[in-house]
Amino acid sequence: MSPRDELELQGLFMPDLDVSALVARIRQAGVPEEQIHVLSPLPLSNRASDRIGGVPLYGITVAAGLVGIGVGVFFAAGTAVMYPLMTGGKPIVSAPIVGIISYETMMLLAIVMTFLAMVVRVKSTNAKIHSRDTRIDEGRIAVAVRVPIIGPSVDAVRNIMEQAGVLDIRSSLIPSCQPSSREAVRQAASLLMPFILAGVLANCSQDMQDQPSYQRQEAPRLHSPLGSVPQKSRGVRPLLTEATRTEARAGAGIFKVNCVHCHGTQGEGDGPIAPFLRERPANLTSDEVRTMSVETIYRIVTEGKDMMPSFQGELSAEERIEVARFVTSLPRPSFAQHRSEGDR
Amino acid sequence: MTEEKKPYRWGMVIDLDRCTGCEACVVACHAENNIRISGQDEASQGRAVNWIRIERYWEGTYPNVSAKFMPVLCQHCGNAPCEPVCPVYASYHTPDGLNAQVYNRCIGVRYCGNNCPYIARQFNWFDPHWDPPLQEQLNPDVTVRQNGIMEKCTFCVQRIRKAKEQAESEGRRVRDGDVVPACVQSCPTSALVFGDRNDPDSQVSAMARNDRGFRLLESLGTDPAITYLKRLS
Amino acid sequence: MRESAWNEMPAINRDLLAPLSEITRPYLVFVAVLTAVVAVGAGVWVYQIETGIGQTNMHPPVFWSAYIASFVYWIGVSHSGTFISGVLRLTKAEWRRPVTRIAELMTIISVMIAGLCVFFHLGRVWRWYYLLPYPNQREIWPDFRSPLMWDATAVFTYATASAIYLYLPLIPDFALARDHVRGWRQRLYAILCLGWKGSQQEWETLNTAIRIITPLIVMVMVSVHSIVGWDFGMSLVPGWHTSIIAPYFVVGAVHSGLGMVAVGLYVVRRTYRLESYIRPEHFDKLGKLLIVTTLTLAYLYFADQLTVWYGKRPDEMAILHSLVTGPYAVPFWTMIVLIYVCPLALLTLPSFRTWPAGMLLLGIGINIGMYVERVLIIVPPLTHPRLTYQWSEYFPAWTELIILTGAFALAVLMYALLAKFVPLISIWEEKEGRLHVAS
Repeated sequence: MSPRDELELQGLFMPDLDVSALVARIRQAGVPEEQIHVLSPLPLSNRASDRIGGVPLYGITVAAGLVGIGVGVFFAAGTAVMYPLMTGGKPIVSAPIVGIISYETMMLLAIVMTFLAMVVRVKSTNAKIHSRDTRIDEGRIAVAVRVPIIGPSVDAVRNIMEQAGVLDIRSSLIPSCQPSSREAVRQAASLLMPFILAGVLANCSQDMQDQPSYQRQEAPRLHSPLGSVPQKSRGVRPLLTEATRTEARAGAGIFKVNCVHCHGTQGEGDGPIAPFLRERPANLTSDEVRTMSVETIYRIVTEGKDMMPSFQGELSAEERIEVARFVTSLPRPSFAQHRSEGDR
Repeated sequence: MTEEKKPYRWGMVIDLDRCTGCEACVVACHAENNIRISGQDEASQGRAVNWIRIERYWEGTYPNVSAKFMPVLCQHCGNAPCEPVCPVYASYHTPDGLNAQVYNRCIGVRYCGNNCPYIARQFNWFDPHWDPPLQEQLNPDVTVRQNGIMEKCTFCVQRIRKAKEQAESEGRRVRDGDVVPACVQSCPTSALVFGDRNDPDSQVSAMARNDRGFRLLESLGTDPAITYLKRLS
Repeated sequence: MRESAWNEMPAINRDLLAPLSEITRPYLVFVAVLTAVVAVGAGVWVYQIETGIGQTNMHPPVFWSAYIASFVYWIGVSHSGTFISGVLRLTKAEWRRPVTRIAELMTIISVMIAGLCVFFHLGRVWRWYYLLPYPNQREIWPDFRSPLMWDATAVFTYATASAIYLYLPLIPDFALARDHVRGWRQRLYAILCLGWKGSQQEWETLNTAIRIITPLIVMVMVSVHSIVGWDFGMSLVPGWHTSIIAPYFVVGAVHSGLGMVAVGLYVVRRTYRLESYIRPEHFDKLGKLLIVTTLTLAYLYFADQLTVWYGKRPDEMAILHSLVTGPYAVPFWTMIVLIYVCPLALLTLPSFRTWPAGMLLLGIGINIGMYVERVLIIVPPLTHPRLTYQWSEYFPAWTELIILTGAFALAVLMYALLAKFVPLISIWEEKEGRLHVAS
């Protein structure tokens, strides 16, 4: 308790109290007006004036409204001018649209700033009052007076209140150094935190990044797509005419379906997808391949080699032997193009 | 403005006298633009996606019935009602005169679909699905749209873009006939003609000047880029 | 006389704070049922997001349907609070006092549910933030030429303003509750009442703020539903493109809002035994307002349809025919009966107006009728486009119905939960009213 501490005397009165007379008498006793507060459960007068010190509330409303119009003009006209995109033959900036948006933003800012100004005012007003006698809610009026604890004011005020017919006087000590309350900031933060988190965690979707279509930058398919061509080993029996039956058994048909896209129709390594591959497919008519036995070729077809994939599972063993036999029978390339039966 | 720098204004003429209603254009558009397979259930709900459709109306009573049909697609209106109502600029007008749809920007509000007087716009109600290996035939030049996105005829903008790049690399303008959208390409009777309406010598400009020419729902003031030629027979 | 008004205050405190602490078994069952319905609705919504908007019955040309109708309906209901609070405060009508808080709560909840309905409707709802105007790396802003962006701005303004307008008169009541209600809520009241002490300067500040914001919020209210109407009016769809749509929507909103307030008044009065606060005279005054809105709405609707009927433009006549005698005849005539005929016939009888249960039934009927009316504004014009090849039909799918029922249950649930936190009748205004009556 220090000499600069203050005492708040809160006197409870019946509602028929002559408030202005009491306040006048307390002021005569030397208490400044801003340290006298009349507390009531409802407004005692209908006067809603704006003589509450500082900038009147109306001023804030008008100023915020004007700023709001500016914000609206920025959104409706400014963003359109920054990134002009023609839509529907309408002008890039048009007055009715700017008007509508500005109207709404004007109202928004006017209302919000008025509200915030009110909150600031209310909080700064009631910070000066230490406590509130809850009995005023039952139909009483309280007069709170703040006086320095040292001096004649305490007793003077008490006397005035008792003369006016006070029901009860409560006093509370107000130390001169008050801890600043960071409580409000912490509470505000805790209320806002869920929204901030929600905003941060809003997922970044990757719609349409993976396209089902076959893009140019993707690696070429080395096998025919499943179901696109009939394969004996997969249980799909194609309609075989006599000619094709011979062909199929001779391995030429298997070669045409599974090998031509890389190795070319003549087996020279010039199939249609060869330009897209890192390594050129082997030229099956070259001397190197000609010297290979059927077993070697069968093993290469079964296990794969370098970039060439393995055909185990794609083709049955019987089919792989047949195609290996066919490869060994590939003719040496001649000047005139040699066309095998059924080759288009 | 020099001849080189004059902007293009893509347009189309549809000769209704030549149109037989064969719907080759519909099929070609599906193939070129990766249009999803709707299936029987969705088609019966009215959700079959067609960027170009043949509208068929019956006139008269039996036995004097005649079928009137015409291909309807996005008209690429100059004053497109679908463009300003999109809240996210997913639909806008290119300097070329195309009504562009930006798939990535669309959030599926569907105001544009309502506002098109020709009901030319389609919406992806579900994700598209192709049973393998059908997805192998999709056009890599055209984005496959997922669910929640509006789509419509683009005048095969991928082909326009290719022709323009080719022309630019050769230092010339796009010639009449360089750009052939899929529907125009596949029409067996050449009922559809496409070209640059800013070029007075192009086939499109010449045909559009025909006396038989009219535009669909012209009184709405949408300024469509497609001129129809009235059927004579 | 004045003393009696002051002496009533303890009783008023007790009566109006009692609902905050009263947790009965029927209440818990009610909340549990509503939570279950909301959970089912949420589950179906997640299913719709995962698989696509195709779960609804929409198809070209019907791109908008039940979700947008619900959005319009809920924005309409939200006008209840602003109208009763705002306009009746401006006119200094004393009978508004027990009604304002109930109506304002309805407003803020309805606006939130309306926003939710927009999310139901979006095709790619996970990209909803494209609608927010903020600087971003995409180098593009939303298109303010679109009536939907006007909508977004207006509804945001309205939601913020309604929240503020609900909160302002609540501050003294929160102070009262802080002093009388124990438990975990007390901490919340202590924060929310801004340290309210009840000094005259605080009262004057509060009243000034309320008096400034009241006309502003009434102006916002008129603009919001006009802009929602312009979502339709700006389009070229026959039947939508009519200049009367903005005033029609505003009056329709107030009409359905007042009906919902009648329902709310009856339920609160009955549940919390507040018969001495919400008296038949309040229903009577509400009924008179409802007559005004019914007549105005009927006049606007008739004016619109008369021009359609006389002008005989084929695109608009097709829609009128489908409504009056076509596939939409049953909902159309039901709507006419519920929102025009019944109110006019019943509310002109003073004895009906002072019958709370009757007003409840009428309010429910008006709201059902207005909901149907919203759907009938949207669907028949869309199913009858100018190119007749695309004419079709529409009826909501089960997914839409479940999601919208979930949204409705969420509204009621939020109201029921807020009733345990917010005094349902504005206590200090009620006390003020008693004082004004006495003096």
